[in-house]
Amino acid sequence: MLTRPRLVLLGLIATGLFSGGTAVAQVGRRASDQPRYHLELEPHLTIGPGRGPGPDAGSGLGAGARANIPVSPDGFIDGVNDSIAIGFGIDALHYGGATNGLFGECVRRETGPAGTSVCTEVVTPGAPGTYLSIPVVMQWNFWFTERWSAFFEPGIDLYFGHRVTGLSPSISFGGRFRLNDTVALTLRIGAPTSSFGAAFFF
Amino acid sequence: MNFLPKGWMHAPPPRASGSAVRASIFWLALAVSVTAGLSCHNDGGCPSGVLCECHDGTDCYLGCADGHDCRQSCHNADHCGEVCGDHCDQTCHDVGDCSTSCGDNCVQTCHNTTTCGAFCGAGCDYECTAVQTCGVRVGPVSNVRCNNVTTCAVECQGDCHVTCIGVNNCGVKCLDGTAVVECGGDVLACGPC
Repeated sequence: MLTRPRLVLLGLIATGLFSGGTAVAQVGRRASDQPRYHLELEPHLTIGPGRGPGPDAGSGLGAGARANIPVSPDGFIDGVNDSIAIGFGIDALHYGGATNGLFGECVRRETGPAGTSVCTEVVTPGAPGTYLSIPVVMQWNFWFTERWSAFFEPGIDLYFGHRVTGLSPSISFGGRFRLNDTVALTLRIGAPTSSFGAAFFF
Repeated sequence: MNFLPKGWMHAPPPRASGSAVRASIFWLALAVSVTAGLSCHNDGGCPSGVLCECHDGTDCYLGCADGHDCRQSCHNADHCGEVCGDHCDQTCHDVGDCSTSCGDNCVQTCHNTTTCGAFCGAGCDYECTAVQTCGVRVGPVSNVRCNNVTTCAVECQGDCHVTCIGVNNCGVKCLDGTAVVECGGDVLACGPC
């Protein structure tokens, strides 16, 4: 459970990032001041600055979409204009690979004639690779002003790559700038990926 | 803490305008297109058409980035493995154990090695020289030559010709159940000579 000072600190950080530090006093606004929506649909471009979750290397670039469904307008903290949504989506990222990734490791062997062992599959670290990931997150929103809001998203990423499937933790901070009642620009910075796109409120 | 909505959304939510819906569809279509465009993959490793060489190491394992048409060479290492699709040229020599795996229409050579193991598809041309043990499984219409080998064991998944010269134990097995045919001149065959 977050204490009020920690919440204020979080608000300061988010506000400093996304609104130049002018909206701290707005944190305590009422839940009724929040935008009303049933679904936030967010197509975006995605980057993965680190290596992919599998044996691949390089930075990733791709696209995806996120859908956020509000589940609690009151959020976690009384007197603070926060809310909770559940977010899920899909992202596809291609990692370019390293330039010196020629040699790999044998990941599958089969027995050949005369008891020989034959490598039938080689995975090369540093090779290019493409991943499809399905993030599921809790989106904790903080509504600062009519235009500016920020969110914190802990969650998990289910990813599928070539011969690689797994689950990884996901954590992001982000902010929105609302252009009008139904459209906003959204920036999300986190791990394993960051994104920038538009959000449409329905 | 309260996770349940209360006192919210009593009023009808604002609906996205037509242009917003169209923009949403555009972005989604773009995302799907990019996703589809990125759906291909490769195994990494050697590019096709260029000699890809690994040597003087402990373990050398080579894949084929483009899947087919790779030229792979591994030598002077403890363990070598080469994996490729069709139309590949795979060479291995002066190693402890070597394995080569290939699709159709490949040329595989293994020499001066303790153990050579190989899977090769149809139309394979395999040569094993100065090796203790060669174990090879080839597809239809393939040729295998064992020279100066202690044990040469060949499994044929169709018609094949196996030439054993200076081989202590030359064994050919026709996996389709037919009998091995002696063609003379150190040549054994599955199917017609």
